[in-house]
Amino acid sequence: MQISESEVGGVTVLGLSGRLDGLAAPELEKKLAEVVAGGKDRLVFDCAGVEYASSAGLRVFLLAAKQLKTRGGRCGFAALTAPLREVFSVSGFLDILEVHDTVAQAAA
Amino acid sequence: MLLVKTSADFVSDRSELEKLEGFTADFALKAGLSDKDLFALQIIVEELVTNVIDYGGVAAGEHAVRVDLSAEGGELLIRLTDRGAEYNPLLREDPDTTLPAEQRPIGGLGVHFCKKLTDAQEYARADGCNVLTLRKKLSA
Repeated sequence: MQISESEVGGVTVLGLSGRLDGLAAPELEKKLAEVVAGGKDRLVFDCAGVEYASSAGLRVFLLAAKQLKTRGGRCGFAALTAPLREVFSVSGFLDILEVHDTVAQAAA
Repeated sequence: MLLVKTSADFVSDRSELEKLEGFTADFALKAGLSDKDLFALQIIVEELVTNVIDYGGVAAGEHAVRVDLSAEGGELLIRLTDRGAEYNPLLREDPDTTLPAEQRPIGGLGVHFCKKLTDAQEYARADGCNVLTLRKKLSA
């Protein structure tokens, strides 16, 4: 999995591409810890390149949403691919997380 | 549809997930699985093999689990056989997927995915092994 980091209007955007499986999830969790430690309170995951995600990946997404919420921030998820949308649906995440069609909408 | 079947053994090490990905992708190619079915298959075996590796009590690097896959007549059969501690994952309580994010516990989704993405599930303890069999109707 590749993770890129950028800023859009004061919002941190993590661009994900590849497979978010049990091998990649620890790397994403580490990146999340860096963002949180950096005091950022607005985060968007750009999921357009996510080819696959298991519960190990969703675990990090939920962790991110909880951590940002705890500090009064927000965490959004943009451009879900079909496989990711399916696991979001099965886990109920479509209803409890901030899901948007585009990064611009998620960062607004 | 002709019977397509394969099997492979995995040791107790997280790096086996890479081998698992190739194993399932090869099978999907031979069996003519759709991308959607392959995705479900990969999630199911990743979740279950990971659980055996993490909680089965098998020493690191030792043989942990055998995975049998077959497809015939539009049905996919997934069977995992492991010598880990006796454990029926199907008895695990389903997570409450309606709880708001703040109240959702971290984790517990893996087995839920396996149930939701298959049509029938069966557990047996036989010859000192956990045998979990999942059946899934393949998309046309």
